[in-house]
Amino acid sequence: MYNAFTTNTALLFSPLQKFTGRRLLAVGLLVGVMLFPGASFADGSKTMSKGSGQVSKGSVTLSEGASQLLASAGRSAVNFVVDSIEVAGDIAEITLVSAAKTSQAGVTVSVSVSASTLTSLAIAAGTVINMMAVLNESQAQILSYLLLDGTRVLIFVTQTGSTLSIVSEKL
Amino acid sequence: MRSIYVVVFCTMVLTGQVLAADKGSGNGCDKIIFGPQGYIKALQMSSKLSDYLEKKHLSDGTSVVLLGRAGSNSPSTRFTSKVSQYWSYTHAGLAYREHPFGQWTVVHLLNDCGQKSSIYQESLSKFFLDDPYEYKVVVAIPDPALQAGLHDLIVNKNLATALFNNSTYSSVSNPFNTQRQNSNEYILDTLTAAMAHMAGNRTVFTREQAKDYLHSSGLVKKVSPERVKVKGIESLGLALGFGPENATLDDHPRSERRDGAVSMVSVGTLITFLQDTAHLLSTTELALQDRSKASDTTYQQ
Repeated sequence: MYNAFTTNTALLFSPLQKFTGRRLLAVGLLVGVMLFPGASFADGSKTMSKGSGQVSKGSVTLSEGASQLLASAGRSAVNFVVDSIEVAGDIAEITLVSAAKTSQAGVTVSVSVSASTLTSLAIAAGTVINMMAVLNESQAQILSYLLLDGTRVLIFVTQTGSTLSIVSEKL
Repeated sequence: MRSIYVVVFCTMVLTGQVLAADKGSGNGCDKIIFGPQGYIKALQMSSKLSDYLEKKHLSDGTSVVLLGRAGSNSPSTRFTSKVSQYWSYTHAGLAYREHPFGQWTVVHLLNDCGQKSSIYQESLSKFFLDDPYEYKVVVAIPDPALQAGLHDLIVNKNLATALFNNSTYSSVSNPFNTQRQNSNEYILDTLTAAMAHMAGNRTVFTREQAKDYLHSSGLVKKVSPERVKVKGIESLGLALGFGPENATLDDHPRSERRDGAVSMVSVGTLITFLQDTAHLLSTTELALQDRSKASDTTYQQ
């Protein structure tokens, strides 16, 4: 007796029907995979924990000239060049100098990060880095700085002593 | 046979389409890349919140607060009860000022991937660095006694992970049993445990014990769950294993699934719970002037 579950269904289809059925199933699987991103009815996810050096902790010290340069740039990024990278133990000290030829001497930025962060950033002496100040809503206070490769955020750094850090620990 | 393919196809597509509408904070599995705007908005929001919390601390000693933030998509089409005016905040955490990890540390549950989740302690900036669809936050301040109870439970007794107890994650977990747990249910369990300790029941340490206490003490009557719409096709899709891995309905009673609306804890539920147990001092909402979603955040599968 015919039974849909025991009969070899391949024998029941014409080539055209087989094609249509397989195509439907394949499209269904494809659409299914594409459209099942996960529900978020009521929750936060830990997606960014798998980010790289993007959220690494770092601190920054700016010369007075660099502070003025970044403050005057407002929301725009300023070009710097990596002048030197010094690694001592687990700490890497990156010194940036302004890329502007007209810039005064002494416009330097010193960024302190972990050595592992430096590895993930893949930067070397001579690399051009954009730096942007993050201002508060009223644009009156600098909250932190972003170091960018074009529009890609390389690292987020706060001024030494800032309480605005991006830190996370799994318990 | 062909009709079976069609049914399977339709079920998958419809389940996917409906659930895709909830795409937001993601399923936890995808790597997220923040652009400058994502950082700027998260930092501005946390700076605004931090300023507010410090003012409150200086004025009345507030040191523990419940925070509710938006997810990555509006739940307006999903939430049918819309419990309290804070129903649109979909993720909660408790922030402790005097925390060894740092001032105003948020302790909360996050979905790692699929059915896995963990408890995290994080700074305020990190709390907002999660691609919310709106940069806004609601701050609910419990009364000083509950603040002290929460501080004792989480900071002094270090019971944050006990109240999680390696639970299995579902974004629509049933708040009335212990089969699954989501981030907001974790906060409900934490609040319940703190209330148990305040009432002299100092043997409540785990989420299972907290749930027992919720039922035995009658506090369960103060829980006003949000009702999440689940269409029949979704229910079928989830049962067949087509749905997202971080959502399941198997911990909900058949009657709820049949009715097409399942119970879960929203931020509105938590604030109403505090209010109905007479532990709520005040609520405040804060938002960025431009509260819109950061446009330069991308996901990498």
